[in-house]
Amino acid sequence: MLFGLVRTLAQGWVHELYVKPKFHFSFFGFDGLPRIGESAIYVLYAALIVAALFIAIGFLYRISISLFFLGFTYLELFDATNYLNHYYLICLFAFVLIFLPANKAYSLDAKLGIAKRATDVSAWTIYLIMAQIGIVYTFAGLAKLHPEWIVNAMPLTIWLKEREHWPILGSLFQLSFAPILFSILGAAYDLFIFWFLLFKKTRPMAYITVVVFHLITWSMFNIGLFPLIMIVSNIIFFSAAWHKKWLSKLGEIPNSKIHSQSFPKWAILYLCIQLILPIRFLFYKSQILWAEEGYRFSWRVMLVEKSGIANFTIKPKGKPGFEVRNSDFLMAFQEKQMAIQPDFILQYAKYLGRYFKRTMNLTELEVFVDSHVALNGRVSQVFVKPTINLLALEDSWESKTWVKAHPEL
Amino acid sequence: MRNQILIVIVGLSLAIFSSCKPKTQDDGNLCSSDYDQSALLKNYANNIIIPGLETFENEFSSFKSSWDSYKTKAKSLTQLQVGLKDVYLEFQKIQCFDFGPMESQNFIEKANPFPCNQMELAKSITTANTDFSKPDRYDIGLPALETLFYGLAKSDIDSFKTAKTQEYISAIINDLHNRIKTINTDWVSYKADFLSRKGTDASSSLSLMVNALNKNFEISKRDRVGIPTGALTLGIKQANLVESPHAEFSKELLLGNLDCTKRFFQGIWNKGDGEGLDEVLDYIKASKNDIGLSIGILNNYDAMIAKLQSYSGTLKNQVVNGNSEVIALYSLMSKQLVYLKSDMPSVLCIAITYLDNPSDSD
Repeated sequence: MLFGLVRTLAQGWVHELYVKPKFHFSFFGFDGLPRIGESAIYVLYAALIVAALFIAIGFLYRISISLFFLGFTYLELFDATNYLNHYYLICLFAFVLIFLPANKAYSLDAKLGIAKRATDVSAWTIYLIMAQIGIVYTFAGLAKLHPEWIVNAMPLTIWLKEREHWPILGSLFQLSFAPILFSILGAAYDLFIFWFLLFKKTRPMAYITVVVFHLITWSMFNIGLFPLIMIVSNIIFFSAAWHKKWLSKLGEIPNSKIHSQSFPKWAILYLCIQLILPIRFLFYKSQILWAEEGYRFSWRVMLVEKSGIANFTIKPKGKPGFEVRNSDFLMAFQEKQMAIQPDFILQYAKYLGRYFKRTMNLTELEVFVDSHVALNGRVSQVFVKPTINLLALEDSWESKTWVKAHPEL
Repeated sequence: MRNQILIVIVGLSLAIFSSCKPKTQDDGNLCSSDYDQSALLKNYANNIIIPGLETFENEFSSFKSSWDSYKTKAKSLTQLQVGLKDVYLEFQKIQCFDFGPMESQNFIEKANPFPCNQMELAKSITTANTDFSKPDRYDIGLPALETLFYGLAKSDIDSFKTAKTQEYISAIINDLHNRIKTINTDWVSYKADFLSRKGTDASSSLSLMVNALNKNFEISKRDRVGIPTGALTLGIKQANLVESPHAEFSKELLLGNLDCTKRFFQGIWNKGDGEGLDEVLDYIKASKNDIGLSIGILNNYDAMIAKLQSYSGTLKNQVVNGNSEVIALYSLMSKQLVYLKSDMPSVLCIAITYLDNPSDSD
């Protein structure tokens, strides 16, 4: 995490992502989130870096991990157009780690007596992390059982074609059956890897697969730290004896035990939420890949190649309408995400409504959008119904009936 | 036993995969098709881009000599103005080539930053501010020349003839002349690279061309039409912000520009119609609303051109006296942008990259 934070700072992304945009998109229910200024963000980043360092060496662990969770989650909530599944995963891990005794053995806390040294560990703490990993993989796999992935081999066909000039792997990608083969392998990996990791007999082979799979996807896609996180966190599946063998190389052989103890109530509740969130899409009638209702927080990764155009018309009452130049209000990366996700289109329309009411001193106006989205190598389709005044809508848990259905999905 | 099962599984999967026919053009997108880009890239390099850039250089060289003879009073201002108009119109034809050597020379930004900022221009002339490498200068290029030749030349002929003004004009002309010469020299070595970069990734020649076409079309839509007509500026018309506000050949410039992006799309050159983007779309059988995508695009090009030709006066005049017709043109351009920027890249499996994300994706 330390590396990731420093990388973000060094690339100058902080300014681009948090400071430059005039308008920030919110997650549902977080539209009142206060946004701190530039210097405060740099302070927060510095604090997170210190916290990450302290967590790694186990110094003031409980405070550090709590601060890290709060700070990192706050940054993720800052602008919803930055949402990535693996940042969400980091938030979840950080949350869970607050309650786990990760500072009991090889930590500065234990050495200094800040935390009581313990070499025993409750089994549920391990199972909780395992379950979380299992949920990520399994739901990612289930999401790939959509005909678009498993039959049409989309969007992998597009991505492999882009990489057909690669050394060695490139010639493989050029094979006519490569997209469908890789799609099936990808789905199978996600669906079954958790189970193969779980059983002792298959574990070594499964872990090698984990490393190979994540290294390949790392080289192919711009997915940041995710492969590293998965490769490292999957080590938890190995047995206590295996861990001890390696830890003994650090010089100290603890006489530790894993004792069974039932899951605490909060962990059960947490897992239930994690199981429900990815299937909430079942309650929506819309097409999941198109309208993306129930899409986030569901481990739906790499499923779509989408691009969109969304032009907004402001129509003051009794006056001719005019079009908005999105670049006056949004950064390129925000506009890109906004144009393909209905809740962002609505948030932005509301913002435009407020902005023009204020600056033009108007009480009544309407906002319409002319939006077109192209999905997975198809021609574009009209996205939001163009005759609907967006200001008359409210975002809610209910189905977004103002999004037109895709005729081919 | 276990080995036998394994063999059966491997055999079965091989059978399944080999029975999957190589996908052909029926899939409607380029990444699932067996389209070979060789002829396409050759046509663009040999017949369209390189000859186009060479013609522009020749045109610009003769304009440069017009200017030199004007300084020695061998040519009249009118002759100079005609020369500028020819160069400006020729410039419209090469704007879609804004990648590779042309992009490295920042040619569009240096040759045509409009509208010209007259205050800055006057300041730069007095201070001899001829460092054209600075970005975001709106007192250089063809718009500055247009202002000086048509705007100031009409009203304030003396100031136009001052030594400082003439030096500034020479500096602009020399700068652009050097840039176009460099572009043409660079294309000699760039050509092999261009021809070899097949595929659909962001550095492929096809992707560069589709992005350049879109970038140019979007500038036309926004700056040449959207802003003057008020469609993008709270409905407030700004007729003076057209591309050539003094000489008022904005309509010809826009026609030249639309015609050029249309011909670029078709792969048409002086001697005939070669393999172009329309042929690729036809090959992969891309269609929208039950008609071929290429037909839809070409029909809408024709509609835009016809709309523009229907204006009796200049574009500026049309904005002032019949803006609803210019708004109608703007709507057609919005429709075209959906075709060019959303439909076409999607079926060609190409990403629009000229505005891009910081950070990762997932």
